[in-house]
Amino acid sequence: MKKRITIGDIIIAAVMIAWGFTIFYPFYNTVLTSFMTEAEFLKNPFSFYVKDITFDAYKEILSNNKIPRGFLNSLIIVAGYTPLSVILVSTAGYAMSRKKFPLRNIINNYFVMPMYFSGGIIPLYLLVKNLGMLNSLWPIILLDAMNLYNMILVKNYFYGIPDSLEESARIDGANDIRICFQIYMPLAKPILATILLFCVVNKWNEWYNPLLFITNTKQWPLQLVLREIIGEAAERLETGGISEELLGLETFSQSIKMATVVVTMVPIMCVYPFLQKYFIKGIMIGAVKG
Amino acid sequence: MKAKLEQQTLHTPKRKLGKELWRSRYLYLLLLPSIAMVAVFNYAPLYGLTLAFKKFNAGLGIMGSPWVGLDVFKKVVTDSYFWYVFWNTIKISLLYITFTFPMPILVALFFNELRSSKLQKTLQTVYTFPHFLSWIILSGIFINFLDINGPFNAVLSALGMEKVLFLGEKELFIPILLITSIWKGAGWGSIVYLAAIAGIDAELYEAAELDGANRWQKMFYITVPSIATTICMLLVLQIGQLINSHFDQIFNMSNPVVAEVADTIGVYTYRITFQSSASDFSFTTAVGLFTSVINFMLLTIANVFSKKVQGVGVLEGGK
Repeated sequence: MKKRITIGDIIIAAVMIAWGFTIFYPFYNTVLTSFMTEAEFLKNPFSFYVKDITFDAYKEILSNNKIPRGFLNSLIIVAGYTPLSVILVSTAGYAMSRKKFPLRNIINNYFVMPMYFSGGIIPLYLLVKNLGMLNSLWPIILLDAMNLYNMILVKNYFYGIPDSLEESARIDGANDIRICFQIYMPLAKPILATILLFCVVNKWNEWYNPLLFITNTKQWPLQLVLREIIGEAAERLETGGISEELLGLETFSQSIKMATVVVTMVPIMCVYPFLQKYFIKGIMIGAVKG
Repeated sequence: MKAKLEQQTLHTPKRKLGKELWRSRYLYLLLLPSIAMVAVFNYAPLYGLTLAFKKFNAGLGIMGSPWVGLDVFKKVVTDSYFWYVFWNTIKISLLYITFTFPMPILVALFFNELRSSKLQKTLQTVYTFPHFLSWIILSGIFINFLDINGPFNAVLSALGMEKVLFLGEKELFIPILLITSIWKGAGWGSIVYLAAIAGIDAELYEAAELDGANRWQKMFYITVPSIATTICMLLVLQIGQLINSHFDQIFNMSNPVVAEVADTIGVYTYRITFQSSASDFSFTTAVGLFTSVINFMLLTIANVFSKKVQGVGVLEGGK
């Protein structure tokens, strides 16, 4: 029974499309601005196309090695963190999904406790300092590699796999390590893919730990480089207006900022289709189960 | 004979435990790296909390610094700016809950009414995208978008209104935080509710239709009550986040002109530790400990509620 489209349907669709537009347009405008000349931006900032396309901003950020270096640092962090985290989380998740083994409850509490109580930033800072890891990418890669929330997601997924699989593998002489890697992990591909993508996105977006632990700007991930570039803009607010003050610069600085934003966004845009494929599953397992 | 038997029964449990430990040896091997990581990065820092009871001296280190008892805490508790920040944090969190929490529910309810699945798919792609971007990226976008010469002001002046320096007005800062937070998170937040809505029995709607219920009646009398548990759960989670929520956003959107309005504990702790010339690690640790304790209490309360509502703790994730 196909219902007729009513006025209510149209109003709802219109409201939802309008909301979609308010989300979409700032991104679109950002991309446009990155290709604009200053004159064009000042004349018509709210536009839908660029009349006079210029690649100056991109040329400038590529020739200044700050941004390529930041990009590389971010890539190193993601490439180091993701496999490490996925392995830690899935091995621990497998073990904790076994229903009965000695010390299980104690170990479970051991993992849950830090989610309730943390030391705060100073103790963490001093720890990293004492480990001699200040001004390196190591704390960014290692901290949180054993992500407890992701571990719980994996644990719950493994929990749902029938025990008979484990039992038959055991009869065939497989030990827990083999069962985990060769039987359970291949079966848990959807959740592992979700977690892998979460790892990539979270680390790509990470800025606070690098801000605390890395003072040498050469080691900065892209997010912090971007933050510095935007920060210059924010400080100018005190004197009112950003763009006017920057007249006379060789390349229009607003477009440089927006080009940097675009460069920082591109990797997320690349993984976004995959994220979309998996995240609904991920959030349903994670949130609905609690 | 009797003695021997007694000895055996005495030893069996022990031997059994040993045997089970041995049988699970590969499980422990699998857990070992994770346990070690948590020990180093989650438990070892707890030792640093002793700083809250010491007068920190960088030369002497954590261990060598002299104990001062509760002196540092007294200093924190009598610091009037600390209390300003503390209540400000709670005030801002409550504003967030009031204004941003209901939005994903509304988005989900309306989204569910869309008739075209193609439109649903496209819109969901747009709605959820900002969730995956950092607040650094988004602050860059908004600083440009809300600039005095930016696109939004261009629209305002085209409509004959006066231009506004959006990010440079104290009164506007918190509303902007709330709106941009909705902008970023409402779409993503709606997915949980959509998942809950998808689980509602279609027969309920059919029965209501036979009784002549219209769209809004079905929404309010079937959909909303059906997702009430989910709503409660997520609200409880928010309570657990009362103290350290929205740090990323506030920290990155803020600027010196408006900073005072949205000074929350997270921002304040960072500032007095890393940006002040007279940074006092003991003082900051004490502030951190104070908030950790409050957080712990809030999470425990949230947990109790969550167990009541859903039978599952907030963080255990079931089973």
